[in-house]
Amino acid sequence: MTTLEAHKPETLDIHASSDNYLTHSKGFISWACTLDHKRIGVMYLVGVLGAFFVGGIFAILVRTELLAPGPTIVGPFAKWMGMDPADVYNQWFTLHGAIMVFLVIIPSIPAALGNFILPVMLGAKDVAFPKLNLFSFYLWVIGALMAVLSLLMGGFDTGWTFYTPYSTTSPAGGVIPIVAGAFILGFSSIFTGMNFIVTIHKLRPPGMTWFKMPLFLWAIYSTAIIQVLATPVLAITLLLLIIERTVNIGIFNPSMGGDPVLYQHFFWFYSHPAVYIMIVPAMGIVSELISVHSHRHIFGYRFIAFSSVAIAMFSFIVWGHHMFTSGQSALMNTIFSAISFSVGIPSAVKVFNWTITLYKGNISLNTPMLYGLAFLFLFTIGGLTGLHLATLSVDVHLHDTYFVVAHFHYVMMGSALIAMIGGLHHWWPKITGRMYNENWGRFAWVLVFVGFNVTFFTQFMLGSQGMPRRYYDYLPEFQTYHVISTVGSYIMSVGFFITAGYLLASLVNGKRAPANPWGGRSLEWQCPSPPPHDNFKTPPRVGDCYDFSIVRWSDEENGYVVDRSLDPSLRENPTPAKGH
Amino acid sequence: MIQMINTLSTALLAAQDAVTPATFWMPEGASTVSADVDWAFMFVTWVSYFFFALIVGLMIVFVIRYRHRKGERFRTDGMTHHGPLEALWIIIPLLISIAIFFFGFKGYLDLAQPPKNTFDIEVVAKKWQWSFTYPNGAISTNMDGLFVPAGKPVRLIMRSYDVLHAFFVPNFRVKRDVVPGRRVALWFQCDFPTGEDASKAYNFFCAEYCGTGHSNMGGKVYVLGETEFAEWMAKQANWIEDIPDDQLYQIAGPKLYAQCSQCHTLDGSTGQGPSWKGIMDRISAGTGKFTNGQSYADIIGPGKVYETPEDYIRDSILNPGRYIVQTFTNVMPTFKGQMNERKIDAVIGLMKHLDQFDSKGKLLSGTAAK
Amino acid sequence: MGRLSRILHLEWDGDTRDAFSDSHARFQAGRMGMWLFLITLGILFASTIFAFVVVRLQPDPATGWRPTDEPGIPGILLISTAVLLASSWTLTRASAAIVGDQRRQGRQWIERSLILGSLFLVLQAVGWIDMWRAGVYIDSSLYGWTFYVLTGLHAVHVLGGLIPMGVVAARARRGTYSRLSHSGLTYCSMYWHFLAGVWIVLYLTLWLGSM
Repeated sequence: MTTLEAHKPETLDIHASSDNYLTHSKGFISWACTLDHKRIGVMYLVGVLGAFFVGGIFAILVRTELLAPGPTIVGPFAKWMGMDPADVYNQWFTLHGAIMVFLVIIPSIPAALGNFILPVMLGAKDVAFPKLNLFSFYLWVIGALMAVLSLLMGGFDTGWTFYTPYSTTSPAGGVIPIVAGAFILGFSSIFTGMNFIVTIHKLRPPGMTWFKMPLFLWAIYSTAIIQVLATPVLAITLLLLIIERTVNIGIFNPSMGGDPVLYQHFFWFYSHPAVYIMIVPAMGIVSELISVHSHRHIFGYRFIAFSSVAIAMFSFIVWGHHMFTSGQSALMNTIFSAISFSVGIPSAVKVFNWTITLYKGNISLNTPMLYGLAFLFLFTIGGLTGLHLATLSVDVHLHDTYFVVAHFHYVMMGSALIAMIGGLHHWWPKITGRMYNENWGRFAWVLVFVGFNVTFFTQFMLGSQGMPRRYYDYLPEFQTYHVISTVGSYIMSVGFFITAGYLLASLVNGKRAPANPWGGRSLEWQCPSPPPHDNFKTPPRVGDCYDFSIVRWSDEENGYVVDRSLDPSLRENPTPAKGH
Repeated sequence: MIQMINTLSTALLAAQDAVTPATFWMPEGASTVSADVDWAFMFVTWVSYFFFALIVGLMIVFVIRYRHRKGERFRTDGMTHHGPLEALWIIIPLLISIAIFFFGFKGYLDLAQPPKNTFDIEVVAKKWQWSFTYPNGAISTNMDGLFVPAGKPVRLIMRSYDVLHAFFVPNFRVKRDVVPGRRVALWFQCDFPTGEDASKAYNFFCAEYCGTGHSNMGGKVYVLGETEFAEWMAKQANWIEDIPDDQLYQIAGPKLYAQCSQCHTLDGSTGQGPSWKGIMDRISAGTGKFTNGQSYADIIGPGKVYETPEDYIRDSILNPGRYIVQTFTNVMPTFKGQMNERKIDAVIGLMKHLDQFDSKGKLLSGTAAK
Repeated sequence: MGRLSRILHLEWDGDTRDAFSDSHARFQAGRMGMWLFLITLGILFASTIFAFVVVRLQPDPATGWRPTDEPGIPGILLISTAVLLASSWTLTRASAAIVGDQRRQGRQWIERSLILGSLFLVLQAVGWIDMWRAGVYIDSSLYGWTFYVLTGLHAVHVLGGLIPMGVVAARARRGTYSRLSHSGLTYCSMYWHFLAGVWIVLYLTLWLGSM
């Protein structure tokens, strides 16, 4: 502790004390009734990762079943559940999709990491409405329990999209509980979004102007806007679906003057923006990962920030590109195709800016950075194949084939989830106060990255060659692709199990994490790891969060420190420098 | 510029005199639009190759060149913003997007607008079967295959009896959702006959998820030369005439029942219509009631509306709305024009000999062709 | 407070995690949150009405939109509309009274709003019974379906507004609200006026649609 004195004026209270948010109070109630955004974030994290495990098991079951045409492993399950083998498969892929979308990817970054990081990064004590925040979490729990209830009541085989009239007539017993669960999860998402918007508007500390905010916060803010504006449409759609299924008549039922295509319009009016609820926060994380681990000022800050907002805006007017073959008019298809290309531009802007950020950087290939680079690689593929699907004539061929499956896995998993895992590694020392094993981290990353590409790149060929999606049985000529894809998914699973292993091991025997292990400059690296109950004992000094010129390695801290003596202009002038 | 692209793409697409062979990405292309779609696909793909190589290449070069070694001071000479560069990478993708949109739009216009004088086939989709009705009344299902004439634009006029389905022929690059409550159309033209050889015919699939049988709701598209097709259609329309009288219900019954199976079960379970299990016994017993309060016995018998039970069944097929069995509703379409007397005889024969068929309407092997 | 009560109020460890520097900042944030919530609900109702318009404009050619033997929108809804508007007005009077430091009048106006709000729900129920008696059921036609679903959706939100309004009335009775501190009343009024506005649009939609 003697070395502390020398740094005290520059580094604030960065030393972990006995009182952090984990040790502040003990017992079940202290977690179940907590209003601390950090604890709520951790509870979300545990829930989301648990759901990811369950969704992943279904993914592996689906991939294993597809090793050969006809029944492969469904037989015993079909016998046990008294179902047609095809229905067992249909339930598996539906469960995989619904769990991954509603319980994992949508809440993963905003609700889990966002909850933990947002107030600390912003320099606030907590979110604007802590009780509402806890309420959102319990809505998530209820939604998850509804999914379990649905399984107990006979499962559901509608696909995660719940298309009518299949969903209103399917004999599966668990359709209503899962749709109600998705409805409740929607409100969890809405309240989280509201909370974050108000927090960012009203709880920025002095000096934290809009353009001083880390890009992760811009991304969370854009996401929250989509959550608040788009999710109610899903909520009402699902509610009408439940009523329709209950009384056997409704506005999506063609037999009495309803319109099933109306359901698709409503569903995608939410679910296309929902794609950006998943990817925009991931882009925010990647902006942090690439900049912090290159120790280099992010390139084109304002363009990245505004492109998040632009994506949020565009996301509301492109939903029709999911319906090019559904029977909307040729004029509508043309308009939606044209607008869909426009959403590619802000995404391209981000990718170029991240790439140039690497130029003349100081790149450390830590595990989070590897995931950041994997994101760049995979999102480029996912984004470019989006061009194929926005192109009208080409989409008619590719729609509802494995090409679409591959495309959205590159975006949803290869980008959103990979960024989430990158963010988890990046903030793991902050959340837990422990360092994980870097070598295992890099090794697992190789498996995940290689396995992912083997699994899903194959599916592009499978789809363009004409293999439709959601098929339990298939023609023998597609088998080679399916086998390669399944082997890839096994490689990826091994990577994830290793990841789970070394992360859990770090809780037991990981080295104590310094306040700033990576050399970050944003505010969360200026409070101890793990953060104290109230985040900051003294109001933090807000500077340019991407200026790494005054960050240096400190052997005493075994981490990086912000050393204002490195910048003479700062030493003489106590107020932080204006942006460059 | 648009003029130039137009000329270019026309030149590339001209003179297609054979099916385009399968490539790494695309299966064999056999319709008049497939070359155009493939061209657009490959254009986007090459754009993708270029940008992927650019971004990943730069990424790898930068990561190697600018690796940081622990303890070194951070270099801070990297620029933080550059207006012209940002403008450049907004404008170039924008221009490329406009070009891609244009190609896709142009191809789509061909897909969306069928030429005049199409050869029309009525298509009905239901869980999990397609049935195709040709202009002369001939019917085939996805088990038999879809037969189309070569060198003529073919239009499928499709509807669904239950949920969403989609008709998809990868080799023709066409796909269309079949929405219940609507009649939708899809057209294509294939100039190259495949003959009646299943190994040369093209696959078609159901592409919109529809439940248990979704992945098996497909079949083959046979493209026949003009005279071959006319012959096939005539033969298909008269298939019932070629069956020996003593095997009529055994051979024709299961084929015809496929059209009834959506609503009428053979195992006694309730569907949209009454099950056929024990139907002849019920009618003879005479006690079953109709929604108007009358019973079988009131209308069937000498001097009554129907002389015999067979008369009643025949009329129920042709005028299904006349008498509705209690607890059911008037949803059955008429089969006038689709079912001639010989087909009706075959169906009645099946009803009378249900013990020779399994619950799916398949003839049990022991009883076949005595 | 007892232990259970503290747990129920989520203040079991005495920490509300209040991140605001003063009550005014907290109130401004609360009002912004309320606006966002109302925008969310507005989109929810707008999309419902949009769906209604779409199916109304493409009626089943066989049966038309409203089956000939089913009556139009019950006349009692006109009265309930007036009652809801009146409750909205009494609530503005309540706010005005509290701001004018007339706590007793404020309390009375809040109670009147509560009564009128409950009366609205009773009248809606009478309207439902009228329709039911006339043979319009939720599964008899899309006309009936949309009538019950749209009015029901609104009624659920009114019910959801009466509960906090009851809390506000109880607090007003205890004299919690003053000229400077009455944020609960403000949030409650925002929500209530919003519901009145939504009802007008919904009523006009149903009425025009039934023709």
